Amino acid sequence: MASRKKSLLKVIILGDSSVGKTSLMNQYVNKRFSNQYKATIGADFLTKEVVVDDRVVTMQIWDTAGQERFQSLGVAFYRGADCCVLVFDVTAPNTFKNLDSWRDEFLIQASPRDPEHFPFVVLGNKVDLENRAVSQKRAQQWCQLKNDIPYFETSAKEGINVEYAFQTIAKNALAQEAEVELYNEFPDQIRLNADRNNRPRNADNCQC
Amino acid sequence: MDEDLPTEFDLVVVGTGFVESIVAAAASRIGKTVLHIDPNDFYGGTWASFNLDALQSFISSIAESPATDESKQFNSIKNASQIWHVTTPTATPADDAIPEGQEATEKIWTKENVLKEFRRFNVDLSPKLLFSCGKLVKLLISSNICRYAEFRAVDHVCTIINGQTRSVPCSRTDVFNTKDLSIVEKRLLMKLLTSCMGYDEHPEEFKDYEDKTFLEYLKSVKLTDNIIHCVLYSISMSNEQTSLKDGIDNTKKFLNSLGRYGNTPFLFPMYGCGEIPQCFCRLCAVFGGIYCLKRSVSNVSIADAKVDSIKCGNQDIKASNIVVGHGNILPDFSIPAGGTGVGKKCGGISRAIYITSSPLGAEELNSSGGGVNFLKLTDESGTGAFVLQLSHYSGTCPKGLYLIHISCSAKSNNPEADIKPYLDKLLTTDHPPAILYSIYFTIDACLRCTSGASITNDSLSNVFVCCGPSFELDYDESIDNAEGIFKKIYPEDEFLPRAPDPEEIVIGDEDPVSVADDVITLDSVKEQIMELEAGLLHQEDCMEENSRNEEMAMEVGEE
Amino acid sequence: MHGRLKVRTSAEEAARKKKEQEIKVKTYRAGMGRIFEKRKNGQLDDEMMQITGQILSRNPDVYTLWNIRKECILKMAESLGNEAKQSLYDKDLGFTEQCLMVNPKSYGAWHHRCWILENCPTPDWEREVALCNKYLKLDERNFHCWDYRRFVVKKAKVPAEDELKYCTEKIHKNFSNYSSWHYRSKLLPLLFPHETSPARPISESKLKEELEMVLTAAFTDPNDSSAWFYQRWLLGYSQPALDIAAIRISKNLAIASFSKPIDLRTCEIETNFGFNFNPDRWQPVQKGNKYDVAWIVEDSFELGASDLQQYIFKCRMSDGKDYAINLKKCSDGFYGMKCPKFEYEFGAAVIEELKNQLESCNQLLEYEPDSKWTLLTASLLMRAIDRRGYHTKSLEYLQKLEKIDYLRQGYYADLASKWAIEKVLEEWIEQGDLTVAIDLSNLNLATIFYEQYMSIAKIVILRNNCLSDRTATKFNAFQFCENLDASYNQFSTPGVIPHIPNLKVLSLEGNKFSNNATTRLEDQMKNL
Repeated sequence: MASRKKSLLKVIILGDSSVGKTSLMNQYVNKRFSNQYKATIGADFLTKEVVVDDRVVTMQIWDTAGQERFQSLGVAFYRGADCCVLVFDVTAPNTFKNLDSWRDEFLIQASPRDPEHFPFVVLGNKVDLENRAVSQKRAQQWCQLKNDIPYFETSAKEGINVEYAFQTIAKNALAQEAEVELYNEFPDQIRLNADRNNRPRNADNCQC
Repeated sequence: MDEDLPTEFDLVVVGTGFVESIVAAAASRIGKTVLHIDPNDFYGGTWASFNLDALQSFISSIAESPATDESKQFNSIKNASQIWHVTTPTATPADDAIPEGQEATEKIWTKENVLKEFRRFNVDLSPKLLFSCGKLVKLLISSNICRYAEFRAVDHVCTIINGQTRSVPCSRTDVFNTKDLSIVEKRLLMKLLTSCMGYDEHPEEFKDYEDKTFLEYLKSVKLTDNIIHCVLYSISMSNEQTSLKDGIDNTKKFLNSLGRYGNTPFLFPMYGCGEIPQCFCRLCAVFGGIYCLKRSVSNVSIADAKVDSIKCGNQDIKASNIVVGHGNILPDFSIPAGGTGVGKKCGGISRAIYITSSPLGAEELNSSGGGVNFLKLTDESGTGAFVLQLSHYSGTCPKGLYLIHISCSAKSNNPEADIKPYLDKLLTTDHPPAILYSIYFTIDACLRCTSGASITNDSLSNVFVCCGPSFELDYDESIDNAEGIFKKIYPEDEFLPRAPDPEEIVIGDEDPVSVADDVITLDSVKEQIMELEAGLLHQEDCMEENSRNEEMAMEVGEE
Repeated sequence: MHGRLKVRTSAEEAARKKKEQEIKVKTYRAGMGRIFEKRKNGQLDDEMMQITGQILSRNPDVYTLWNIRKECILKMAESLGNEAKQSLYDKDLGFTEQCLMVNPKSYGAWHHRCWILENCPTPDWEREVALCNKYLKLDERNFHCWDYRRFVVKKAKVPAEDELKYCTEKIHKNFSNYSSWHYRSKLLPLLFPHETSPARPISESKLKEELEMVLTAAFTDPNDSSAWFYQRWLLGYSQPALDIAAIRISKNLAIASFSKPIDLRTCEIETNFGFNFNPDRWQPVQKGNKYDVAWIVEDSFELGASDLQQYIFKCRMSDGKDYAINLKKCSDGFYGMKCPKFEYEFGAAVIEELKNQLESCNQLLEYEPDSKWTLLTASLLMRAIDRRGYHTKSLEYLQKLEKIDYLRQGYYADLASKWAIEKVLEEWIEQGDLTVAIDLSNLNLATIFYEQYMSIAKIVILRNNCLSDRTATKFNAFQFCENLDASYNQFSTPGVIPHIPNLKVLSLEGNKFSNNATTRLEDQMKNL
């Protein structure tokens, strides 16, 4: 639909396995945290309506569905993203190091029109844990180097900074969207829908 | 960060092509543990789409190794060749000499500047279209997998009449707008289409033609040659020999898919057909399926005419059942197991892909840079060719360039020769495309279809081989293939029931109502949804519109 | 297996939905309560805007809330400079757009938008036109948006050419669209007025093109009525233009009748022969009508006093225009009548196009002799080409239609009656003597049209038709009729024939009155 860009933002969350991507989503959307599973199961995408500058937009937050575990995220996952959230675990330095490759992977796979200004947000998760191994300063430095990516320290478990971080994500995605709309890159995209209301009203078939 | 895989699965699927991915998704959906691997570093196998860089390497790798190379894991594509028809001219105008904004019309395409945009390409090995009410669309909707994909409605169904490429008027709107038909022809065409739709209700109208061809029927209802051409070749995609029944069934299939999305009955997946298998894979993953690209099976151990376990990397993995995709073979395993045994042979397709700097047909067929156009060509022997032209609006090529796909039944090991008569037809039209680059290859049949049914006696009872792409426009046969395999493995289970929406999934143990219901604050007012009267209001609105239309009818008279 | 996905059952889901709904209702109520409380306290502030906004953005059809918003904005704007004021209005403009996304057919939101634009310091009308484009792209039949478009286009001073172009595009996209055909019928007269006749909406050359386009639509989908209405409009088969139909003044009765029902009491009448009519004394012929085609005054008129070359009766009607008619003087007063305009008279080029179209219809009738809409189109075209020449043939087609399209039999019968009456009426008016009988016998009439023109006739013969009780009220117009022959029709209720003051002879034999009724009828006749 022509107005998809207007009201729907696709946000994808990237980062190594078990940095808390799914937990962050759940904390933000469902205000729930659960320790009970390791790998992501059942997480697809969650939607939440957010108000940004007096505009109600639907934010669709896409989980990796565990396909990142063996580096097997397909390019389809990246299509049409309006914002990319990079997550690492502040207690696991490797997950921080890998941010580079996740960012590169995103830019290659999604190939956004304006890679320089594509909105990323970095979340350093699990700040509630005591065995912290990546300092805030280090993370901030990295973000600065990458064109000033906004950085947030979060805890999905305690709900620290999660709301605020996602609000920023929505805002940045929307700012990007305003520019993208000018390009009007792919007008008239169609989403299939079981809902009959989706059917265009000019039932233009030949059963006259 | 390489973890180990679990060592036991209900189902191991090798290859991420269309059929395999459906089986994987269906198994995962009913709670089976699934390991889905692919030796390639991309999804889709024979059904994949590539950016231009990857496509070139892929084609070279096939062209350089003999088709009989047993060591290759991926062997469903052969006879591959590629050629650039533009070289780097010595004095091309430099890119930056072209003023901004005029790029699309004035750009002179060289190999270099085409390649520079390689990421904008998503070139399908097996391009297809979906009927808007066809099997795949229905499956995507009923399984709720549709949320992972976006589509573009095909803009024009084309045909070539007397060397002219024309849009076939298929919808009511098209018939109204076309300049190619007189108003009497318009009426006759609409009437014919209506009566085809009513075939089941009024079979008596067709009584005299039951054992005749569709063409004979069309001639009998005094249609002009123009209309007969459009209906026979484009709408029903038939030929001179097609029977009345088949012709009408095809026409109905076409018409039934009209009016749902866009102006034609067809949809094309945004970013190419290679997205479709990935949608099924995502569902599989969402339900716990584990995904590993660049992983192949290096060994299998067999016990009691069954594969007991496979060796994957350095792990032995037990599997109750194994599904092997088109183009994948297991080591020491030259005898494939039975697929579903239905339908035609898969594969056997000669393919051509062209990158062109101008589209086929006049401006009105390609307005504002062109969309997706489809053309069915016929030949004397019958099956003809599917031609698909894609513009940047489909997300498969850069602005100003076009992809033209041709697929026909393979008659030889020389796809270029098989395609040539069809290409010639395109090149001799009033607006031929300007070809910059071409690729030819053959899509082979799967092992099972190649070796025939006789060997299935020796087959391993828990190994299932998936067919490759069939020479069909939509995915009907491939879906049947996937469902057949699923039903053989899990005869009692439902095939891809509707997947729940994210909000229906229980996370943790609790009921996820987000707002505590005892506190009503301004914030909660802000965040809650009000749709109380929506249903009622909609009804009123409909009534209002009706009465408004009547009002309007009278108003017209007053000027 | 650990981590296996748990999916809610449908019962659980329903329960959850219900709970969610309950919360929504609760919050809605709480919100509404807060709004009314604040309103009572005169707190028309930012918070008020927020709460009303929250509810309206979900359900933009709560009218009261829009009104409260207006109050709020007006109050808040009081203390602001122009720039700040504009941004306040702009913000609300953005808000209505959000609401329209929820429901693009919300009256409330569209109206509120109009209000904002009319009240804000610097409305941006071009932007509004663009907004209409967007919404009509989503649904080209959204008539709310078409209405709004007409409003903003006028303000933005978009040239009618551009609008016509836009309208044409929309029709090409989907011609089954009342709104765009209708809009077309408003735009064309502005852009392509008729060369000579102000009564004709559009020029001959444009008409030719339009006829072609609309017939294409009709041939493509004959079941779509929007194109038909437009075709009728083009061919002039729509309501007649307002005009005086007939006037008769005798020494104790005057009648004035018109092509369309009007309220004569609001009109000004002027004569050059000294008759003054007090508007209040006019009575509609059908008692109780506010609008009627024929009006009478019972009064005594001094006839024969003046002796003029011309007797002019002038009437200024509600459209502000003067309509005049020349009256003739006769033995018992004055009378005058105008021949109604049955159809347009087209120029050669249009006639040529109509002939082509008729030819196409005839070709089709060879394939499908029973095609209803082709028969009807053909008969309409024939009359547009040469009404008199094709009179018999066009009526034959209607008769055929009455048989094959049984469900719309009444419609065809009425149309045939209309055409048959037109022919007789025209001849009668042309001969000019109102003492000659108007003979409508043996025409298969199912109803009566143009009765206002017959209001001055002395003798009306309706013998041997199919008139039934439903048409009897039309006799009200026959105020000067002395001899009415309605024999051999289908009347069945004795009292149904209205009182006609001058009537001397009424023939009703051969109708469907019961025996009992006949007796009473005879009583009625005696009273004449």
